[in-house]
Amino acid sequence: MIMPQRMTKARIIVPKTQLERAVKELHSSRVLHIHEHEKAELDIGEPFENAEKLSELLVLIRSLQSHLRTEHNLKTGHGQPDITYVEKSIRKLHNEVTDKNEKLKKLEEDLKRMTQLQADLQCIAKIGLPLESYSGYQNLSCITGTCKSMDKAKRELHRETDKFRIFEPEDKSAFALFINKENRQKAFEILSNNGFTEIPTESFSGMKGSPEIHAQRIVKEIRLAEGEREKTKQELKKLKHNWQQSLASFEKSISQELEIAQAPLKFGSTRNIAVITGWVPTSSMISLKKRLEKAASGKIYIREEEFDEEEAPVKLHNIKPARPFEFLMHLRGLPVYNEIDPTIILFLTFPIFFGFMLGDIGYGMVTLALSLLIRAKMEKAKNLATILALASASSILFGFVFGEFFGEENLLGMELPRLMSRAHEEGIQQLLVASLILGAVHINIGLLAGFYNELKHHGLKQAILEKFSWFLIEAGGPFILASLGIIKIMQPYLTISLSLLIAGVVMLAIGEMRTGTIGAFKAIVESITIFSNILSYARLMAVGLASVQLAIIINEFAKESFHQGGFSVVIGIIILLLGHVLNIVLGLLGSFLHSLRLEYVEFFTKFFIGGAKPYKPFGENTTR
Amino acid sequence: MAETGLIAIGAGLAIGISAIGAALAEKEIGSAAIGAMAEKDEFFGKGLLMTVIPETLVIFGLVIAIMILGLAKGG
Repeated sequence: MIMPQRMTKARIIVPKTQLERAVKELHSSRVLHIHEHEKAELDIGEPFENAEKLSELLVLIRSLQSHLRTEHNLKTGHGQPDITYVEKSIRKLHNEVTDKNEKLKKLEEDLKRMTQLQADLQCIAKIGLPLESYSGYQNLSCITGTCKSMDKAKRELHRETDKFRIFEPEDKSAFALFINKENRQKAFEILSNNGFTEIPTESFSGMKGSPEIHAQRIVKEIRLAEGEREKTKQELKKLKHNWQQSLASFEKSISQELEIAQAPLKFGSTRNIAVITGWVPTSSMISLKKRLEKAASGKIYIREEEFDEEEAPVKLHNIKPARPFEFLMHLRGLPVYNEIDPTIILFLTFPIFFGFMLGDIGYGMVTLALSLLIRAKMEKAKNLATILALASASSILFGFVFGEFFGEENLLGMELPRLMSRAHEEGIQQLLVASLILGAVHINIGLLAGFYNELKHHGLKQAILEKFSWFLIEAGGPFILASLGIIKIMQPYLTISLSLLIAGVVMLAIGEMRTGTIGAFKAIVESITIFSNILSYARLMAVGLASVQLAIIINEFAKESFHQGGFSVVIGIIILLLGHVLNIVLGLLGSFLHSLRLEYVEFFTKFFIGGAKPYKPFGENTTR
Repeated sequence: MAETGLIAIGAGLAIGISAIGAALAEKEIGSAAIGAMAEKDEFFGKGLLMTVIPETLVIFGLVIAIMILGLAKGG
C-alpha cells in the first residue's frame, strides 16, 4: 500500500506454432506489461499475416467515421463479428459514402459558380445591352464591371484617347467600356487606380439576348442544385444513423484484432520460437502461468528474471477510498518502483487543506452537491469529482469548526457554535498558528518519507546526512524565532537550538558533497527553505480569510438592500446570488489549486523523485 | 493616530509590492508552462509546480504585513 504494486519480470518462450494462441490468451488476461524487444542477438518478430489487411480495414473504418461525423462514446456490443463480413460491408459503405461526398463537393462548386454568375448578370442587366454585344469584335475590346470613382476615371481616359465609349445605367452601378484593343491595357490601369472591380465578360460568352432572362434561368438552376444538395446531405445523415453503431463496434473489434496481430513486433524471435519479456504483478503471476500453459498445451517456458528496479513499470496500489487520489499522482508523474507512493497521504491531507480554506457549511454543501452531480453525469471526470466531494465534505466539517454558514455567523437568530472565529480579529492569530502547525506536521511526514526512500536507495549514512539533518535544522527554529524577537527563550536552550541548527546544516552539506562542492554550497543556502516551506502554509489562513471577508461583504450589501425595502429587495437577492456564486467559484478554484500546490511543492519535494512509466498491460486499451 | 495610518499603509505596501513581484514572475513562468502543456499534456503537474513557486513571495509579504500590524497594537 505504501509502495507501488510489486512486479515480477517474466520471460516467456513459446514455439511459433503456439504463438498466436498464447498471444490471444495474454491479450484477454490483461496482466502483462510488454517490454519491447530491441534488436540485439535476437531479431524482432514479424506481425501475424492478417495484420496488413486489418490495419487497412481499420483505416477505412476510421475514415468513414470521420466522413460521416459519427458520435463518440457509443456503446458497443461484445460480439466478435466475422472479418470477411466486416470487410465486405465496409468496402460497400465506403464506396457509397465516397460517391455521395464527391457529388456533394461538385454541387457546392456549381452552386458557388452559379451564384456568382447570377449576381454578375443582374449587375450587367442594368446597362441594357444584349449579351452578344459584349464579345465577338475584331478591333474592339469590352471591359465591364463596377468602379468607385467613374468620373475621375473618365477624365483620365480622355487624356489618353477619345476613341472609347461608355454605357452606364442611370444609377451608375455598373458600366461597359468599349475601347480599341491596343488601349485596353492602359484603360485597365486607369480603372484599377479608381476602385475598379471587374465582371469578366468571358463568364457569359456564348449567351445571347437579355441578361435578365438568363439570370432568371440560373436562379431556377440554383434552386434545383440546392434541392439536390439537401437530398444528398439527408442521405449521408441516414447512412450515419444506420451505420454508426456497427462502425463503432467494428472499430473496437478490429483494433483489438490488430493489436494481437501486431504484438509480435514487440517480441524477440528466431526461426522457430518467440521470446516475450514483460512485467506481471507478482500476485497475478501464478494464474497467468497456468492460463498460458493451458492455451499453449504445455509447449511454453516461463521464467522469472532479476530486474533493475528503476525500469519497472509502476502500478499504484491503494485502499479503495484513496484510489481517486491516484489521479493527482498521474498529474504529477508516478513514483518510481522503489519509492513511497504518497497517494494515501494525499487522501488524508488534501481534504483537510481544502476544508481549512473553504471552511463554510453552506459553501461546502453547494460544492458537495456540484461534485456529486459531476460524478454522476461525467464518467471521465469521476476521479476528480470524487476528490472534490471528499474535499467538500471536509469543508462542511471545517464550517462547523469556524461556525460559518455562507459567511454568516448567525443562523435563524441563533449564533452558530464554533471553535475558532475567522471573521474576528482575535481568531486570525489562532488561525495562523493552526496553519503553521499543520504545515510543520505535513512537512515532517514528508521528511520521514524522504528518510525511508534514502535509506532504501543509499543506505543509513546518507539517509541520516541528507534527511535527518533537516530535523536538526528544524530544531534551530526556536533560535531563529527568538533572534527575530517573536518568542523569548531561556539561555541554555538558545545555545542548544543554535548548535543543533549548525550541526544540521553541516551534516546536510556533507551529505550533498556526493554531488560535488557546488551541491554542498547550495545545501547551505537552501537549508533555510525548510522555514519558508512551513511559512508557506500560512496560505491556508490567507485564502480562507479572503473568502470569508468577501462573503461577509456580500451579506452586508444584501442586508442593506433588504432594509431599504421595496424594489431594493430584488437587488438584494441578486447581490446575494451573484456574489456567493462568484465567491464559491473563486473559493473552489483557489482552495483546490493551493491545496494541490502545498502537496506538490512543499510536501513532494521532501522525498519524491517520480517520473516512472505507468503499467499498461497488453490488451487493456481495447478489451473493456 | 497618524502613526496607525502609516502602519496600515506600510502593511499594505508589504503585501501589495510582494504580490506585484510574484505576479511578474508568474506571468513569465505561466506562459512558458502553458506552451509546454500545449505540446504535451503530461507537463500539467510540473507546469503548475513551477508556476506557483513565486507565490511564496506573497506569503512572506503577508507575514511581514501581519508583523507590521502587530506594531500598531503594541504602539
